[in-house]
Amino acid sequence: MDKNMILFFGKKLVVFAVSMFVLSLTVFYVARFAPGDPLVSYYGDRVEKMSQEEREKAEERLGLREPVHIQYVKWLENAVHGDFGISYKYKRNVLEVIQGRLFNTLVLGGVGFILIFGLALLLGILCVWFEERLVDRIICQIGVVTSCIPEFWFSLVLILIFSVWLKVFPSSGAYSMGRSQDVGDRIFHLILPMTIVVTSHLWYYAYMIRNKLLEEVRADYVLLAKAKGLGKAEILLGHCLRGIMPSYLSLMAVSVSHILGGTYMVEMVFSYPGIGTLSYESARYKDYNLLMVLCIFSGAIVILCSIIAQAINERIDPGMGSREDGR
Amino acid sequence: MGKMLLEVKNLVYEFHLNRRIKIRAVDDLSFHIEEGEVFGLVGESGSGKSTAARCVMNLYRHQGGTISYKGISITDPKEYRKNKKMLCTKRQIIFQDSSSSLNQRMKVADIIAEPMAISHMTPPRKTFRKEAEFQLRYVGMDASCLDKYPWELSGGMRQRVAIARALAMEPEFLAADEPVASLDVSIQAQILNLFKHLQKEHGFTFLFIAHDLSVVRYLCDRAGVMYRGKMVETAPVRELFDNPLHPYTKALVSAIPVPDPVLERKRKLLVFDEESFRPEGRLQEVDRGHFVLKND
Repeated sequence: MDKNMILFFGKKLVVFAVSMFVLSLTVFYVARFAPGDPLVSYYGDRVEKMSQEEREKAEERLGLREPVHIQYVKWLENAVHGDFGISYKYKRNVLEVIQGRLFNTLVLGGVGFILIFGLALLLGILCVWFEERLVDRIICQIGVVTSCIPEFWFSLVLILIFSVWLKVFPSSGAYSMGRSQDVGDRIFHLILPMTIVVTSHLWYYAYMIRNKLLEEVRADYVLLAKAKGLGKAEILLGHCLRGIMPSYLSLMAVSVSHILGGTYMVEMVFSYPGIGTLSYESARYKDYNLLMVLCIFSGAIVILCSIIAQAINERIDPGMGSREDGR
Repeated sequence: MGKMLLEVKNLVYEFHLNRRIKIRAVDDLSFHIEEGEVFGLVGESGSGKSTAARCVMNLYRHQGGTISYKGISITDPKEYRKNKKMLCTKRQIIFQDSSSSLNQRMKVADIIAEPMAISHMTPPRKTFRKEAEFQLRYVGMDASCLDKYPWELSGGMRQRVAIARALAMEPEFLAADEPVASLDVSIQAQILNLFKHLQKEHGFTFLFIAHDLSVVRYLCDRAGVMYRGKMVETAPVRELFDNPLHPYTKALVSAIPVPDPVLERKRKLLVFDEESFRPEGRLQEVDRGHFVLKND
């Protein structure tokens, strides 16, 4: 690796570290200052019967009596060594709590992500190919309608139709009782939530791709390629698609947060055991340590993706990369 | 009189803005270009010059009339398909906006070589790269530009790349759609001299579109004046400028600035009354090779 590469990655690493620090600090403070009682999630109903003295002792035990900045420093010290503390509610190490559920969310979000971007690219190309003709118009109409339906409402409608009336798909969970290793069963449970994740985001991205491509198709070099004797497919796929690729990739990376947020929502409605439901619970019940880890995790993914997007862009788009080290 | 290379007869092209609104950009346009001739097409913005050129290059599907190139009716889809390879290699076009006519993500060498690669041409100078380098030198640029991207070049250089790309195919017919309009005056002069030099050397036939009359006077043998999609007058350039007959041409010619201040002060600007323009009527020959739109 030459010096430039090390410098390149070094810079990115610093950006990442600073972002993570700011994120953790913000979440830590906001969580501490938000109203609610963390003891409830640890002791449950017993809290109501506690005397003032007992309460103080309990808070002392959980390390909640110190000033917030000292709490943060302690937390940071432990976190750097890989100890994120225990979950108040589950009374286990937070990493253990997350472990099983992380996979579920990654499957839902990851497969959804790939499906969204594959289909969006396909739809975008299709629309441009049949620009202003029937196919394009139909796709646009359907797309606008689906993207306007709120996802929680649409999920309920799908549950009503497919789970309650037709009884084809299960309405909740990631697998049937005792069949957590059964891939078929998991896929079966994924279909409804996945439909929501994909339909609610698909058009947004397909439309962006359509517009970007149309912009590209209008440029004179397309006319010139036509005059050179190139076919429509070669022009569209070989020339124009290459033109929108950098913006497409950065769009993909930026949208990770968007789609991740979408999966959290869907997880809630379908009671899907992922980290989306877990985040909601931990924020609601003041399960500080769990909340921190989930925020750090989601934040790390989002920040990492935008840094990757930027790096890819600098490599692909000649306008961004060589200018920096060239002249 | 030389051999007829391109003949456009009663060409019509309409843009459909929506179901009801149509714009007739080219309306019953007829002209011809002889082999080895430089034909200028002038007119104000929106008069249909570019549209006509794009129809001639088969980039737009015309809606009426015929265009024949070397006796081949290129407006007939069957004939066009049969001769597609020849038509795509022997006719080349240069656009006005060089930043949009070059793919921003391709290097100069690839841009120049692509038309050759598509038509499976074996380059006379062994490799595509050598050929691209030769063409670049030919238009006055050096080989260091081969690995640059279009955005790294100045406007004049980009236009030269576009010209080199067209010339690499050794065209018989070159359509230039306002190739100098987006450049500043000193570079305009360079490019025009380049065109003149190239045309003399290669002897290709040239359809040159401009809205600057002095450019046309400098470069062209014959010129046609377009107004609202119609050809109002065609004549050999000298005849057109010395003896304009149609009121629109008169107004255009009177608007050319004269480089001599004494004469410039005496120059009287004629105003063309748009209301008086009658699109109906036919081109009639008044002098040898001089046609004017006249209402019977």
